[in-house]
Amino acid sequence: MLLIFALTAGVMFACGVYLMLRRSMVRLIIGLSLLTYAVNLLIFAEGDLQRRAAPIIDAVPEDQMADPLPQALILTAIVISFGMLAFSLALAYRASQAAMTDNVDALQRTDRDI
Amino acid sequence: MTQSLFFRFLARVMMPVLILFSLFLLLRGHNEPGGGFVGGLVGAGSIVLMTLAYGAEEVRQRLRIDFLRTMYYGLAVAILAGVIGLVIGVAFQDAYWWTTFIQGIGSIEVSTPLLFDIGVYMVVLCVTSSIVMNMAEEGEREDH
Amino acid sequence: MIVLITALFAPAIAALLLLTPLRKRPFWVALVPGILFIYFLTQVAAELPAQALIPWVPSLGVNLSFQLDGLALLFCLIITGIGTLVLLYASSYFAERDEYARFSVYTLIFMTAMLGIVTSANLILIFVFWEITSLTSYLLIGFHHEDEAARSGARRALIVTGGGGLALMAGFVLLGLVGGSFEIAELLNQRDLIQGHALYIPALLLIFAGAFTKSAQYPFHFWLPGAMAAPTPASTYLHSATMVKAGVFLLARLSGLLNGTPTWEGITLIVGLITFLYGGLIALRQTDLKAILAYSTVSWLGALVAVQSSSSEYAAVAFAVGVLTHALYKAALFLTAGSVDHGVGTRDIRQLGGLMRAMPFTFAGAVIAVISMAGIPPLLGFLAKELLKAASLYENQPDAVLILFPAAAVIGSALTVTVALRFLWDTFIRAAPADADHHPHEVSPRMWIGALALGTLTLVLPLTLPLTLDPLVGGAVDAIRGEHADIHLHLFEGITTPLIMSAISITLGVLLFAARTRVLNLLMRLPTFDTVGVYQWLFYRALPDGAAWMTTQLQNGRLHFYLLVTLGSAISLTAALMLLGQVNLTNEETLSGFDPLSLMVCILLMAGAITGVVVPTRLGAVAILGIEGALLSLLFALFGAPDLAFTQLMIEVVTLVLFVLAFHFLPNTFNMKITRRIQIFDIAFAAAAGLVVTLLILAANANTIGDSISGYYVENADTVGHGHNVVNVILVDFRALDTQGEILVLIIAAIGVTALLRLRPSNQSRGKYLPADPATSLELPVEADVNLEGEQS
Repeated sequence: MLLIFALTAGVMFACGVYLMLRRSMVRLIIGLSLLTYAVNLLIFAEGDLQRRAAPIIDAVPEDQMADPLPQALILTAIVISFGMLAFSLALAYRASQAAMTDNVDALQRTDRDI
Repeated sequence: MTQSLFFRFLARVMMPVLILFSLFLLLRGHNEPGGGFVGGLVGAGSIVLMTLAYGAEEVRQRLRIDFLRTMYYGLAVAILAGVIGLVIGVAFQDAYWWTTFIQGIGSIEVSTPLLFDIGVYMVVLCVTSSIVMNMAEEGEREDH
Repeated sequence: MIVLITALFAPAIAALLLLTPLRKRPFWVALVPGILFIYFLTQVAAELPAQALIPWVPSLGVNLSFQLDGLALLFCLIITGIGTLVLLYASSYFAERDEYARFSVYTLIFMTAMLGIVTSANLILIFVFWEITSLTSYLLIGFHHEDEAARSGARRALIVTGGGGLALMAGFVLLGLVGGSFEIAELLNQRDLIQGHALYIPALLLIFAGAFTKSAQYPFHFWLPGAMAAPTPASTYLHSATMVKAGVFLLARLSGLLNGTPTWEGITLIVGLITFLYGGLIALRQTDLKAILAYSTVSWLGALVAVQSSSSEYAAVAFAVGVLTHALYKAALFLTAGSVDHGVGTRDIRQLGGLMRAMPFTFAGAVIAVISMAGIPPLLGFLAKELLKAASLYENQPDAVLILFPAAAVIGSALTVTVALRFLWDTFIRAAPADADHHPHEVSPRMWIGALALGTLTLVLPLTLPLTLDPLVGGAVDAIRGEHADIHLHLFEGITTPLIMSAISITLGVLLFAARTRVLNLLMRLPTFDTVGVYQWLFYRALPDGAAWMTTQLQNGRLHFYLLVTLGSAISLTAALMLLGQVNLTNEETLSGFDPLSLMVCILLMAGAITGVVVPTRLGAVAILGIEGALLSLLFALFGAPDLAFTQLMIEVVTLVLFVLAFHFLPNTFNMKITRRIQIFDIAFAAAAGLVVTLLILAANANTIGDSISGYYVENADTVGHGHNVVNVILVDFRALDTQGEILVLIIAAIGVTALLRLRPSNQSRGKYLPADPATSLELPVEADVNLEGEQS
């Protein structure tokens, strides 16, 4: 199962990178989101990939529990990535206003008052 | 940004339900799936729903909640939870539990981790709501 | 223990009090070091060493660990004693009360730091105090910050001593790694291990770099003359009596640990002697009173480094007496220079003269100090010079340097004599030059009393040796060498070689003084290596230019390029590590445990991602993103992570809403024209990145290091964390500090969004904005953003 996870994360990462390289701001942000998905999957794959029960003590025996540590790491990562996404959207908006373009390679002109 | 009457009705009905559900998630989070992050997000969901139905400006007028300020309160609560450990214990974020028995409800466990989770809940709820409402307001400004 | 720690921090507390209304009448501050001086005097007779230890970061071996031994006590007396006189002096030197308060704040903080350096028994603690002295020195040199010379002098001192401090830190860490502790006492037990270790030489060189920069050894000496831009009381205190001695103090402190190898002996001897002679020669060339004194300080610091090349008793005695003597007479002379500046209005020796009559008390102090500096019996300076020569003779040096050190000691002392005589003669005795236009007046008693008291001390101490210096110096020598020795100093021990050498020095010095016009002409033609030029080139040319070049190369304003550079380096480094490490990529887990349901979800995820790339509209792409998030959430649910699944789903909903809201105002230009060649390159690049991620996941799973810590969390969630949901217990209890940081990041994001969307220049200013200075501005023509809003809506 690990191989499948690794492939999935790899494909998502590649697609994310490709989208980010596409100059368009919206694609850049979508690419960034795909990238975070891939990275979350990467962290998730560090636990043992057996389909087990949620790590709730007393509800399931300890040896049938999923690894809680990657879950805790990813949980905050998900919320943080939302914050980042919101910030990028706001930034993209202001930057495109300043540069009057959606092309991220034409943003040298944003160093001024808007 | 204003939507159909049915959607508005739905949003108004759902709002208290979602808020209650989010509090439920928050409080049971220590022992069952849930917690401050999920709870805060569900709570924010109710605000998002209202914003979509009524528009950010109206929601802001009606709710009279300054999300930015409440967000700082949340952070303060989380830090307070840590400071309690520092004051009565040896280190920042030392955890402490108190069990109290209330007639009719049963025993309730109050703890600094719970307080911390409440802080997380407030921060997540307010951050998400504030971001969404800001975005919506920007759209409304552009429409005018 | 409590008394000692209170004593160390009393000056800093006094500095804090100066921030309260107590600053209105700040003249009480001189009492603080005065009381401390008396306290430290009582400790001379007390049982030493006194120790105090408070754990600070015990897990790293860093403790607030203090030890008052003989060496520390000697320095404490100098620090508090001269500190008292300097604060007294400054109360009259500064006309403005606020200036005096500000000066006192810096000086008192410095005092605690300096006391900290000399009493610390922990290397890291020494470093902390060391850096505080550099900072306070920076503040004091730049005290008159409206003056460009003060600013550049302060910056130079900070760069040199601060840089040295970093080297020192590195050296300490190496020592700690080798010896397994940062406590000096524990390291001493490991002496042989440390000296035999391969890291000994690097550690030693780094520590030397710190000590030599602080103590202004050649070629790092140049910051000290630049530091003379400081108010004279600060120069007296920091740049003559105390801070510059921190370097030589450190050598003495670590002598028992690191001394005894050819590297130590050779470097201290060579650097010390070069500095000794160089400082003396250059001091003669100066015309500013303070610059003369600064170079002569450099010179004597060189002597103090050179004597430490040996671990003999002679060397330790010469060091202890040398430190004390220099502190006394040089502080007196610095105070004199400040008084002259104050009373006359200039420090240029060419403009001065005949002050003997106008400033009798200042003159009296200066005479005694100068005689002491020249090393004329029976003053303390004589004893110090005598001991220096004794140390130079009785060191166990190799034959090649057998004659070098004594010869240098004679010549260096002779130069000191000349400098001292010139200082006295040109300032006070000879008639003022005819064109000099000034009306000197005597300064207030608070200003001349200091120099006079210090001068008198150099006269009294040698006459009361058994009572005063024997216990003090004896304690210091014991502390340096780590074994007890009975020290009995004698001013006059019959006709000995050192005495003959002293006689030669004094004669030579007087002769040089008599022929000073010719000597000066000769000296002026002496070529010197331009160390300041090197410094200027390095910090004002090479570094900024190099940084500017690098910035223009890397920050070319094209995001595409940034992404290629950052991601490219990340993936190539990861790939290189995996290749070099020849890591396994598979284990039994890699191909086992296939589960049809999750397999299907994964395939959908991959297909979705690829669709997201090719989909032509932005709404479509966002929809795909939502589907990806939902699928991921499903995957989390399948693998026993309900919290994750729920959170992911909620975030997905909010994200979708956010995108849809943002589409209201984001420009709708989704597809950029990109050449085919770049497109193909990007595809290859992205594929490589994805491949590295895939391999990374496989490698990380196939090569586990140690056991997972997850078991700890599972076992302790209930018993320690009082919760059944392990994920939540980790978030709010075990790793709550991480979560604390994470909610802070969220808050910052929310503030950022608010700032970006809500804050904007008011309508009045819009379009009127003009860059203040077109030449220095990077702004584009302002017409471009006029009516921007109008075009958008």
